[in-house]
Amino acid sequence: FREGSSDSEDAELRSVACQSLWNQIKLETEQIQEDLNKQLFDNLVSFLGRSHSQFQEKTTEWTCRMKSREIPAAALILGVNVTDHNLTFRSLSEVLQNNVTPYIALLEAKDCPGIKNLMQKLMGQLMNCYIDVDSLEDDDCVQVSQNRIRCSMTSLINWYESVTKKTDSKTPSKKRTSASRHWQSPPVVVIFKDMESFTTKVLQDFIVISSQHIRELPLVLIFGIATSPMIIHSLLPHSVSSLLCIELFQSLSCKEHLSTIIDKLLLTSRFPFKLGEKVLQVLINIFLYHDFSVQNFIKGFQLCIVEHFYSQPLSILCCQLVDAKKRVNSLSHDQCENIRRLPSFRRYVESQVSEKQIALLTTDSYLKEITQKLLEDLHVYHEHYVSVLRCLHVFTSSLPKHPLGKQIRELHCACLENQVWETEEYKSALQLARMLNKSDLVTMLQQCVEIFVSSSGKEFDKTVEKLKEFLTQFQKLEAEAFQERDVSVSSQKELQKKTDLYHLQKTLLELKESRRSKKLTKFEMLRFEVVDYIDSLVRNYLVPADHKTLHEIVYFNTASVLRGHLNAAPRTALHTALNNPYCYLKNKALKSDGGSISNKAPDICIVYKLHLECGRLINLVDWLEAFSTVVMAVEGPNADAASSDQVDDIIHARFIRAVSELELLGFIKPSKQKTDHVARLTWGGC
Amino acid sequence: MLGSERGVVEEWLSEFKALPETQISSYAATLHRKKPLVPALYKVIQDPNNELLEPVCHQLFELYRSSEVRLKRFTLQFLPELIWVYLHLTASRDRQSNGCIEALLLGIYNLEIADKDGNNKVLSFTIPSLSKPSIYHEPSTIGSMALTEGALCQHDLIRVVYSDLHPQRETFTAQNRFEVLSFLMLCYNSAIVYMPASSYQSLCRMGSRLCVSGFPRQHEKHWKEHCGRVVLDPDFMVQLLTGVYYAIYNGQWDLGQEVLEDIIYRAQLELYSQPLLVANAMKNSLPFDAPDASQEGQKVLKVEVTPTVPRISRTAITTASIRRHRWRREGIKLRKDKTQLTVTVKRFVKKLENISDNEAQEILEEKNYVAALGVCAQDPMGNGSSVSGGEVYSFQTPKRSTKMAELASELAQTPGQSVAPDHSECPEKTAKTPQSSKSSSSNKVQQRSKKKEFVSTTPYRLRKRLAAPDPYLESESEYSASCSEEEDEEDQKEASTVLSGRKTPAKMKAASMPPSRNTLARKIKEDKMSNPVEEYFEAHSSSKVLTSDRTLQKLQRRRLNQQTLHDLLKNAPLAYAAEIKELNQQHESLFSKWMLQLHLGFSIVLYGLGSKRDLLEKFRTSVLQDSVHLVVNGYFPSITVRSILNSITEEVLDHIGTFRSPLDQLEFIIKMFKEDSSLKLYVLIHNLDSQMLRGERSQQILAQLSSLPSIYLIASIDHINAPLMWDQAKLSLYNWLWYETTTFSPYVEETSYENSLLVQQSGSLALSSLTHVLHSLTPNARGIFRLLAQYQLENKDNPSYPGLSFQDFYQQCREAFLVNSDLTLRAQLTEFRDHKLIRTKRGADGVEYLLIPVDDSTLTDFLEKEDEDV
Repeated sequence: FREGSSDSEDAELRSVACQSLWNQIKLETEQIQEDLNKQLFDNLVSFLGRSHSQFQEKTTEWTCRMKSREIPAAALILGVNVTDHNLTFRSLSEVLQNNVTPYIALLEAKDCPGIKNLMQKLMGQLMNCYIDVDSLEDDDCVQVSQNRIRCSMTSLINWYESVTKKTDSKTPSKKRTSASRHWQSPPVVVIFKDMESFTTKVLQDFIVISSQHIRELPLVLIFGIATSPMIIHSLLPHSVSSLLCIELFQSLSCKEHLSTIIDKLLLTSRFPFKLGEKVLQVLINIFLYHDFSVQNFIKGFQLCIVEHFYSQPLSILCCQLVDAKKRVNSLSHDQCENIRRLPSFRRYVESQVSEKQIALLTTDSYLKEITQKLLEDLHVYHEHYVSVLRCLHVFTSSLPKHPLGKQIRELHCACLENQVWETEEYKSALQLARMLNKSDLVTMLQQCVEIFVSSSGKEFDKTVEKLKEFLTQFQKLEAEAFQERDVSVSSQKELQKKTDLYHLQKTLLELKESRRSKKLTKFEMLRFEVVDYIDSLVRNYLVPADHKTLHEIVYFNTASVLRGHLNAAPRTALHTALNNPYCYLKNKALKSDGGSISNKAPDICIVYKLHLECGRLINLVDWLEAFSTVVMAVEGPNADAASSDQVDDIIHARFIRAVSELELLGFIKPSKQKTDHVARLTWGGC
Repeated sequence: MLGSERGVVEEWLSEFKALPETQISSYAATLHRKKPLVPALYKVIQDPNNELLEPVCHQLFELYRSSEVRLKRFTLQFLPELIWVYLHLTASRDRQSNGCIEALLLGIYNLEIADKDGNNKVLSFTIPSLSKPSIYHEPSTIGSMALTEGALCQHDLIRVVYSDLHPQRETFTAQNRFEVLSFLMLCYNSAIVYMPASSYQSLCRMGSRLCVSGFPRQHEKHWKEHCGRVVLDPDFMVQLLTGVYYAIYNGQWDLGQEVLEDIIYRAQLELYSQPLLVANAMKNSLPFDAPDASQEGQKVLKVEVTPTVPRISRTAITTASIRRHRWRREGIKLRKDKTQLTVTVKRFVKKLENISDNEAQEILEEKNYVAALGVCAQDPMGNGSSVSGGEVYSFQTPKRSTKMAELASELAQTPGQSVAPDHSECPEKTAKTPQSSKSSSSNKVQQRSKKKEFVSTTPYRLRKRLAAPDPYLESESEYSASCSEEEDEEDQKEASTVLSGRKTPAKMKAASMPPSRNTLARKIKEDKMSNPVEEYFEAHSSSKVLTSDRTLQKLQRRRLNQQTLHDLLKNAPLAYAAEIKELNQQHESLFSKWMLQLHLGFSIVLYGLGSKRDLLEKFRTSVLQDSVHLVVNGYFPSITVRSILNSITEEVLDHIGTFRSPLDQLEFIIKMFKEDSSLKLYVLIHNLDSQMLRGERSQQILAQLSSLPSIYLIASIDHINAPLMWDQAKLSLYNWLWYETTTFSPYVEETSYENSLLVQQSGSLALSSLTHVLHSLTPNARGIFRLLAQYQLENKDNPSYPGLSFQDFYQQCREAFLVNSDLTLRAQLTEFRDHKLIRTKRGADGVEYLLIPVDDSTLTDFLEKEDEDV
């Protein structure tokens, strides 16, 4: 499909690039999601296996029988965000279907206002999945799924028995000992997606009834909980909750989820596409203040990609470095002009010598060459940026009061925004870093070394060496520290020798003096050195992206567009349009000084402003009169042809139209309280 | 009915009336000797058409009211039969014939809910103290540290309420029926030990009939009559089970087991958890064969007790097995919230009550049992798992031990006769006292007075209603000059002449208003003004409407109708056409972007002032020309989700056939689209927020539709609160991208369907139809309509005018010699209704009100016209 901008031959390429990039990112996020959930699901599966095994041991012992009254239940704590949970549940049921049991029912509160609805839904789902299991007997099951059967626990048990018997019949064991049947029978898993919104009565009844039949029907419940595990006890009385054998499972909080996503998507050099500071801020704000939905975050990210590739013709170069170099060679003249128009490139040109400037601005081939170089620079910059950023994060994240933020995303934003070393926060952070104790410092340095080693950049070899050198120095210091302590001890001893009061005082003063003016200890020297080194690294590598040439190619920075699309404010738009039509209709006549009602405004604006003056109820006649006087003022004083209270037909009609438009917009509604009155619905009216 | 039986009943009826007060007790003693009387009474009760039923019911009630406990029990033994007959008749909608039974049941209920002082009874008991040693337990051996004497003392003397206040009932309604019946069963159960075998049989019969009739299981039974399904209540079923439980162990082994099965059957079908729990527990605790029947009439509840641990669970008393389990898990904490246990303890006590009549030999057995439990309790304690099952039983024992002494003494006094369980919750106890007759009579008086009140309520309510509008009217016409000034400030600049003309009458009105209320209010207001917060609420709390009284009718210009309005507007030039065009062009440049984003799985929503219809149309014609698309005019007043889905299935998917529900249809669509990935559908919805699509369900369906990858949705919204339609879940399904497209173009299409305020909708049409229909009617019919119309016009100032009640109307019509019976009037009214000339509605008090659904002005016109004609 077309991308619709000026140069169509690149559009194709761009859309392809966009698609492939998005697919890559999508795969990556899915992978992350899977990894994050893997642990949880593994636990759940093993739990199900265990609960399943309870049914095998059909001992007659009393305690065991008591225990078998309990329904095994898993409480899955998912956190507040609801929309993402669907995905989790879907994958969970998939996992269970593959590993544990084909009998899974997913229940949602809004489908189950009563116990009967719940049973109906449950049986419908179970029996449908039965159809899926073996489609040979479709005819049988169609009848079943018609909901003709009365839904009760017994019919459910009958169904279960018939299903399990079928699997049984394959095995030669004819004896219908319950133990052998349960050995093979997979448990029936019922998942309550949103436990909090279920009616307590329904849940209680369901649990009590099914606990009666737990021996015939190996049931396992899974509760999705958004708030806290305490909710189970506040929802269910003890008599009911004691029928459950609950195990808790905690899923990752969405904030952690987000940080992993950011970590994997943004803070790598794998993906050529980058988000600008403002955009990232918008996305994070939407996440934190609106929905806590990682899905939405990813969607926003997708939108950014699309917007970037759509609006920026040079985004064709936003791909892996090798491809980008190839593409640079095949750039058309127009595209070269586009590059020349980029503000960052202009800055670059201006900083060059004049011959070079001319060459850049006139020769396409030279431009391409330079562009290739610049792109490579940019790529290298990104690689370094990430490593250094992580390194800095290691240093700052544990500082008291977190001047640069706890999360790496905050640090990232700060670095993107402007030169981080010039901010107050950075300075205070460095000051704090200068007061770190040794063990912390050593561990941090070790972490940094790890980061740099793992990063691919070749330049960091030197850095690593340097850091290692620091480490060895620290170790040396430790050895020296012993001696030093000896020295101090000896001085103490000296102090004890002094018996004369005067002398004592004198030595004490000397000691104090020496301490004040004392040279920094070796440790402190080293510490300063380390911090200064880190500082230099930061200054070298954490240059904000918009200082880099050609950053427009890979950075998406138009936050306003994003905000408009994702977090729109339709109310404000309506209000501005009605209040200040000049915003939209660029006509001089509409430029009003605010407050008064201009008679030149569109009808609906006039009517709206008049209605703002009114109270809860509005008399239509008065309104009409006011409207006509406002409008008549345009026609001027010569409109005396119409009698004073006789309103012109057309004005009347216009008024009617405007009023019904307001009604459509939901500002007013007809009121029965008084004849020919309307009620105001917005902004203090009600 | 045999003559002899009839004779017996009649004799019984007559002899009590002649009885002097002093001989009542001796009469009560002899009553049970009359062998043929009880079966005869059963016969009478079972036959709803028997003429003796009413006197019998009355007599039974008299007996119940009497001070003698034995007479009371005589009545009580028929309770199951009465309940069965009553429910049976109610289920078969035979209301007329069960009147006297209903009255009897209510009478007993109303007697039982009050104690002797006429106060409402609260049935409660005190949980026995665990802290004091008894012959069954020694607090120090309980073992756990948490159960020290001091700790246990804290839980002493907790009164457990198991039956709360019950209100007096004058009639049975569907809501209170089972509340009353359960309470009656409770009364019956508390006296169950005194009941003869016939009563147990009747109880069992009732139970199984109630549970099974109307269900397939009925065919297995050998009953003569069949009847419809009887609605049952879980609480009632639990009470029933309690009675049945006693009956099973007291002679009704077979019948009892049958009932038990039936109750389980019913509870399973209805998914009632509580009866299921109790019934299953009962069933599990049943011994293998019937208890020894040789001791007929000995009222024994046998509990098999064996000291071996594994068997305890089977022989433990009914629900105790479950409860014990629960106790063990929750340990001691549970004891703090004992009120929560109300229900369980209640049942528990019931059990105890039943057990209480055991013989001494059995007590010995009990001891064994408890000892065994003690052993069993020791085990888990060793594991440190707090207090185990033993606790439950040690909890149970003191209860029994307190009774033991009583039991022994009473047994000594009256050997052979069973003993009254002396519980505080036993409802008999209060009745036993000599004052009981007094209390019941006072009760009666109370009841009667209440009835009187009830009768008088209707006119009272009416009065109230008549009175209510007055202040309302007042408040409506209230005028505060200052406020009207404020409101008209705007106009004052330009239209001061007009204003002065109309403000004066308003002011005058304000002056003429009775000042009392207003001044008071103002005074209060002045006091409060100091506080700005108060001021705010003051400003917002007044529901007064401060606008002028002028109506459109007083304007010379009448309402315009749709057509003229349209024509007029066509002539009016559209302001700022050039600018609007420019705006539109801006938006149109986004078309290709929209396409791209639609394809990427987003849906697009357009907002902003101005009709977005033309814009979407343009989008459709320019981009979607050669792809499958569906345009939904949301503003169309009769659009439904169903019609949207239908057009998808029928026109896009070429599917012929119907669906049971929109959800089914949606599922089908989803399936189709998933199967065939080449299917692509663009859906354009104008006004997604319109009245018809606004609902939660339709939005949910649309959201699900839009979440399909091959359906591309682009919609527009206009309403200011439209975003409130969607919650997080729906938003994520829709996956919106918002686009601000303020167009400023007039909503021509959208508003043309609105029932706009100022557009004259159907006035002329209604009037002409009125005259047409009425001309074809008889003069009498016209007269009737006139009457109604006039009455409505007289009341036109009353905003809460409900209409003319049928009875009043009938009176008026009779007085005007228009009809001679209410049947003719009804026939006439049916005709009016068919022509939609009148509307009937039921008021809150059940009275039918008649209303002409035409506005007053039209009605006045009509009457004027009629007058001319006449």
